[in-house]
Amino acid sequence: LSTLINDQVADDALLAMLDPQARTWLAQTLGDAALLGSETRFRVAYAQATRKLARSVDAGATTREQTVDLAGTNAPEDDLVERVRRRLLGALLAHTPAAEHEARLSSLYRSGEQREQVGVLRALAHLERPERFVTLAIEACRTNSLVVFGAIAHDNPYPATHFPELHFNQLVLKSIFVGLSVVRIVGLRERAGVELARMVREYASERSAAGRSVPEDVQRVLTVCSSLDPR
Amino acid sequence: MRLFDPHIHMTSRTTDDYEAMAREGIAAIVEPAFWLGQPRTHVGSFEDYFLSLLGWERFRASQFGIRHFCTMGLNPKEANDSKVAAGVLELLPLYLEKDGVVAVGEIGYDDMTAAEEKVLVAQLELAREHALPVLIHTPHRDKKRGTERTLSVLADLAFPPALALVDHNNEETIRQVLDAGCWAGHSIYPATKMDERRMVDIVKQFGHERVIINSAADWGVSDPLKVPKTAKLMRESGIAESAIETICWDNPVAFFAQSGRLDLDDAPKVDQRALFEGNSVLRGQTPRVDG
Repeated sequence: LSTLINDQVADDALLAMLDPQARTWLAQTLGDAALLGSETRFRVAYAQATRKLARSVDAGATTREQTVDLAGTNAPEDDLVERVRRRLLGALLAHTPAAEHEARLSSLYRSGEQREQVGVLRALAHLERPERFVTLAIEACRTNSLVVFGAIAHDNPYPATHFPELHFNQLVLKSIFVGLSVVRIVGLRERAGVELARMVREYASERSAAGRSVPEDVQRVLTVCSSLDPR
Repeated sequence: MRLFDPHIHMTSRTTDDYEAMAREGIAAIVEPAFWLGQPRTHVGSFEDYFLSLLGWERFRASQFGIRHFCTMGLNPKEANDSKVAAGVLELLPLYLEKDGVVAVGEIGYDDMTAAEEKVLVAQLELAREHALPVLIHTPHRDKKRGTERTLSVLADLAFPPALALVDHNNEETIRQVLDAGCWAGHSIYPATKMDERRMVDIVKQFGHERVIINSAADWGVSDPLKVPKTAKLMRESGIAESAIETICWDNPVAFFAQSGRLDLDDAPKVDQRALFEGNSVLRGQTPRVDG
């Protein structure tokens, strides 16, 4: 019961941020069991969210759910569209048999355009039993889109909590590789280890051998790793 | 001098590129099957892609006097999707038997996952069954370790190193690749991988035996003229003409000829009146017809 009350409070807070039209749309969508149970209708509603919320976003509605990054600073504010999509995904799972959760979320991710994919990735850590979605999250790291990669790599507690070591390390290395600051990788300090240090050191060596500059993040990661490794 | 670009993804390039490549002396190319910048989610997308490499793309190249060959394979990135990987592996035996398929590739490691290794091993076995050499991609991240692991997989399977072209080398990987007896490919890129100047230094240090260069041009920022540009810089840097010819023609020819399907006898005569399934590369231009 307390979860239900909390959900209701969270919904009320979210709805209060929206302009009247968007508020009606979201309330109706969340209350429409047939829509939530229909793969096609849900996909349409999920895709529409950016346009349905455009006026609220323009009006400056923001929400704040902060994570603290490596530098101890606060991550940027949560995006309103992402917050609404996260709520939609929560409702979707609540109306779908558990055995279908992974398939539904994967299909939504696979068929999504960039911001829809971001919405899925930013929601993962907040969904029930999030460890079920680790394959989807690892696959997302193979994207060529920096926006999508950033959604899983930056300010997102999911990888540090759920990724096996290989994939967490690959995520850190790819961040350095594509120039997304490692400062915003949540949980880097907790997950950094000897193998990550080796990978990053070899990357620096490869850059040097090629006569190229070594990104600052290399030293940043090595410092984090060495503070944990007694050697 | 005739030039060979043994690794270029022409499906994402324009006819302007073909024209420029022919003008700069590129007479033959190999287009490896790779990914398309975002993951395919159906096995059928792979099949259509394989067919376009064999069909429309070979025709487009011929319209500019360039010999087009290809390699077929499941790339390491998409090997991680178990839903498509199994289906693509089933398709491959059909496509590996096509004329003009001169290797299995690009295969190899990306993140170095267990799924990638399984698909790599399966395709090395396919190469053996179909008597083809292999074109091996090495990872962008953790490259040195990835290259070491690739070479140890080849050794474990007793795969003949002479039939393996290990690609995308740099200063830190070439020695182990050459020492293993494999061919060493180098992708000359505008900003990442390898550049012309560094390639000259590598040739000066390691010589030209089993050394290959390519543009690896694709849908990203890349340059389909990197083979001629690197050949020119090698020449200006005092590398012998015979060594340049070995690197830019003889080596890729010798490697892919091991397939028994690298037919270079008659250079295609340009006849732009030709049609492919009713389609022309021209849009109202006067067809070029070489006598």
